[in-house]
Amino acid sequence: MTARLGERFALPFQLILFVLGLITVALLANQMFGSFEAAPANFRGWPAGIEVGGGSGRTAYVGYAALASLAALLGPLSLRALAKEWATANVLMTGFLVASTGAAIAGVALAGTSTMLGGLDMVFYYVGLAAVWLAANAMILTARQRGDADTMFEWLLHSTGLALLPAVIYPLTFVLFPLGLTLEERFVAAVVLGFTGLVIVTFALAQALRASPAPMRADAGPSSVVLVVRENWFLVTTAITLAGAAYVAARAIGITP
Amino acid sequence: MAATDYRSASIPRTGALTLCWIFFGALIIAYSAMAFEYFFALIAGERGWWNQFQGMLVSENFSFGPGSVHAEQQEPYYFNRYLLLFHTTTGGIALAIGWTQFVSSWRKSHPSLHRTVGKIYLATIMVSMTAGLLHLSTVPLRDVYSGAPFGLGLWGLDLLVILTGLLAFVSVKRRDFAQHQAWMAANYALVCATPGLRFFWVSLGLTTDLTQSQINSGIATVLLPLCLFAAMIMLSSTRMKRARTAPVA
Repeated sequence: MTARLGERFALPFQLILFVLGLITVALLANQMFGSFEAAPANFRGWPAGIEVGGGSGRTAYVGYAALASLAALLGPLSLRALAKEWATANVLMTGFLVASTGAAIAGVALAGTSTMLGGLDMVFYYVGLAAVWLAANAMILTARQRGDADTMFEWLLHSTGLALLPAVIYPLTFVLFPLGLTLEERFVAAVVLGFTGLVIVTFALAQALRASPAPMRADAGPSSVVLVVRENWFLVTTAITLAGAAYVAARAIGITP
Repeated sequence: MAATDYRSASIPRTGALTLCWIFFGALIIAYSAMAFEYFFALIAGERGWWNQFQGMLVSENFSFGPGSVHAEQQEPYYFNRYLLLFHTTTGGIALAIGWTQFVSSWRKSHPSLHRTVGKIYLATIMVSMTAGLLHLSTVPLRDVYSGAPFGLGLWGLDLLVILTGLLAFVSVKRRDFAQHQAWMAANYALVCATPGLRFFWVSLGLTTDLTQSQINSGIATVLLPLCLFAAMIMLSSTRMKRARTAPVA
């Protein structure tokens, strides 16, 4: 099962998404490995915005950053694979689904345990992000179960877009500098504009792919029972492996969850 | 360009879904009436149906006290009252008629009515959003209700509604009905951000101690993506149903 939409997803788009994924990883890693106590300012004057209060806040941030980084890398790779070979795409996409779902949940935990730049507005943001991310992932799974590769590709694109939000929001904060707003105002405004902008861009991209000259196609027929069981088993195994890796990584940088 | 004629497709709708859609339509029409009346009331020096309804649901203080739209925006609203009267009356009409365009059976049985209502809808949102932008251009960003981020969000919303409306119009002129439907869904979802925002004011006003301004500022970070995602889910569900019910070639 490969997505016709994916076959129309040209290399420049794939590269842009992958580069945005790398930027996201760099930004999150910078914050993750920067000194929590030294915040703000560990990115060329960029206030990290993380004033993590207690241990649980640190854990949530490390969990969020690790999982979101993984999602930002696996998302573009899954999109590329979905156009070529189902077996590889299935593995990558499963990893992406686990990582992004984990990141969405860790984001809510982070919002609940720490005070950060943007304050209450960011609590709303993380809860809203989790809602749309989980909905997008549920749509990917629904499309997969129904064997609709094009819809699966479309929602994978939307979900990947959400993983790349840091790469849009952080630079946008600097772009808004000429408006003469405070850092906090610019940051929240960047969240408002970046979040909406990214969603509308992925929406437009999906529509453009659907409108491209090749005929649309949906692979008919639900997955077999055996396939569903096997895929779910893999999902559970991947989740456990990732949780273990996150725990080891957290311990390695001196955090005891 | 391969265009799929979605007008002729018949989508099986379950009873529960139909009921949900009717309930949604009723809520939208009720809110549209309040939006329509809002600036008539402000000009007459009255409190307005929406403010009173919100005050009844949440509290008098929430709706009229410190941090409320009523308390904080009287001055800029009164200054641009006639501009905003255009904004809310045309916006109210667009909201009220917009949802009917997504009822597939009506679209199928009355295509000319669909086109006429569509033209009225597009004209009203263009007037409404232009009036909204003109109002915003006269108000410093920080003086917009709950601050600059929400002000920028409103700029983004108005521009996106105009942009998606134009894209939908261009698509239908090219007879690409699939694209037209997608862009109209996004457009109407964005227009529905207004009642969506009121829904969050009331629901969070009832369940938290936050002021209307705090809720407004917070929900602004996610409101438009939530609306767009709702439209995208609706579109995908419809497409998946069509794929399942399409005759085998």
